[in-house]
Amino acid sequence: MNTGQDYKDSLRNRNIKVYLKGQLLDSKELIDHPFIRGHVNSAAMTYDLAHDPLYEDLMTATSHLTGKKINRFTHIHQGTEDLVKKVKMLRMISQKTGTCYQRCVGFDAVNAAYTVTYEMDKKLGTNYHERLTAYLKNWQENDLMVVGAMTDPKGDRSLRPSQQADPDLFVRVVEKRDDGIVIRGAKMHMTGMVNSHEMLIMPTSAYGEEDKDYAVCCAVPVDAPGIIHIFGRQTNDDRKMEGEIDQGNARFGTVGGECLTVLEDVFVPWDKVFMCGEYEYAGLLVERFACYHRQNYGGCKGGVSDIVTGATAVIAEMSGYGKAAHVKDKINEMIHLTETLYACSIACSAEGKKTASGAYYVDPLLANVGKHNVTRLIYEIDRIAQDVGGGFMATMPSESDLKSPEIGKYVEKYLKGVASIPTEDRMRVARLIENMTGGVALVESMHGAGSPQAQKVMYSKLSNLEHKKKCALEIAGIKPKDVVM
Amino acid sequence: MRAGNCRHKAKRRSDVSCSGKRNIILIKDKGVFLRVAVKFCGNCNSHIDPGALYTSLKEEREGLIFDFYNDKESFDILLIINSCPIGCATSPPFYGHVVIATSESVDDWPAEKSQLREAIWEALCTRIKQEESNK
Repeated sequence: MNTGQDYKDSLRNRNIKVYLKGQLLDSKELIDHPFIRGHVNSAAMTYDLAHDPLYEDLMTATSHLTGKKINRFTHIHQGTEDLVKKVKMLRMISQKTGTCYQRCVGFDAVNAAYTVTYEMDKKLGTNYHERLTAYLKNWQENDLMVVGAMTDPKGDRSLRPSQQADPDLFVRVVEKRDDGIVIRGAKMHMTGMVNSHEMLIMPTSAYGEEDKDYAVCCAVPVDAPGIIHIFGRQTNDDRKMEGEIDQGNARFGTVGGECLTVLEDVFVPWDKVFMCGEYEYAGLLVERFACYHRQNYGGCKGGVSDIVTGATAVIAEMSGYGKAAHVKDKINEMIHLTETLYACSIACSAEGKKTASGAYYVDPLLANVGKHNVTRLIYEIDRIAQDVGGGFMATMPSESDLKSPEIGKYVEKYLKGVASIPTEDRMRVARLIENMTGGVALVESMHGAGSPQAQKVMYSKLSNLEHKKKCALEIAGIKPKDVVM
Repeated sequence: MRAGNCRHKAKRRSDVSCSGKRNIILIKDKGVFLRVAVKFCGNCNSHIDPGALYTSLKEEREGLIFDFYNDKESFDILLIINSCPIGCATSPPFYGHVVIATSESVDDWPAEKSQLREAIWEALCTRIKQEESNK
């Protein structure tokens, strides 16, 4: 297993093309860029914690392929215990970073692809599972960071991929050769892409036969010829070019560092192709990935909310109203909401089941309910944090003002809360709350792992409404055969 | 899996005793040490500071060697420290004595956080006494 430093060093060896605010970054030095380094530090935590005896029970697993001890982020779930430990691991890491560490996306992608390729091969006689297993062995052996790449730009949402005015708005196979395939298109919102080694590309939705060229799952290095990445902007990101305090979480940043990844005729050798035209399995792969990924949110957002709750309690104490009854009540409400998020993630893991491949899969209904809760409850948690934190976190002067020889004394004097607490400490906690409860952090809770409607559409499929109707009729004393519905 | 194979087993049984009064293990022969493997749960919900507990166990008790658990070495006792009351740490295959602590219990018996260290030592003593009585 690699350390965080091993991981960082390995990133410098890539020939990756990343554009940021219109400028191409030096591939050797981009991980030091103020816009990017926090995300790298956060991902590095997933490596370092695996070497710490205090955390290794969650951070490591035994490979079912080699019997070796591996980083859990490269593991295929072998039981419900693995699924539960995944959630606990995510909560624990979030408590250390206060933000996304990006590595779960590839983790979920490979678990989904592992189950689907097995079933696809049995039905169609293909050999994708064997290829994926060989790829996974190398992934585990080299402890790679592989980003899951699912979301296409999608253009006009009312049209299928092949109906779009521009056929490249969904990633597709444009050429099949003896030695591999050539793909073209783009992937959006790619969390951790610019600080990964490889990407595992998946289709973005279910497809019919007319869209079979879009049913593609494959792996490519993030620096393969034909690939460029355009790094996304974030709320208040110019603060990263200044000091530390105003960033709120200077060490680990905000969310995961997303980008637009353009795939301009990228060659993929056959041994890294895991689906190519089998359109009838595209939807299954999307669903499996989505459910594994939605499982996470009560873990990672639970841990992030632990930080927000702690910061809220601290700012109340620093401001002198920590013992007020209404503040205690609000903190308790934050705890209630956080544990509600966590409970769904634990539940969908405990109710997981074995797939034909041997890998375990979460309960999809509970996983969707959990993520759906995140699209609502995080907003409420953050609303309470902003309520208790006070308006000054949105209006206070900058770190530069605090440290100014001329006016610093005024910031120090008038931003003071409880006399014994340094003003700088109070400003730091306020900036942390500001950073974690607004802008991209909230949008990520809404749309990461799918927008709320993507969860809702699963309910009618998974919730067994007929059973509920039957129960109701029975309690009402109505024989089902008497009712025409 | 070699964990649990006592390297000093024959000698240890006759050389170790426990002081029930102070719950401190006495090693009559200073040349003999019991090896205690310590494993942690993963700490997603720390009600205690497991690192500090480990350090205090290591510092204050003469005659025992504490080390982090691994499946490559032999140990006499496995001590599993869970940071919250749930106690979800994985128990690896181990053929020696096992003591399981949570933030509120030791071997399923309630223990105050402030008394956790002493309660763990009492449990370790009990294991050693059991082995002595079995010889």
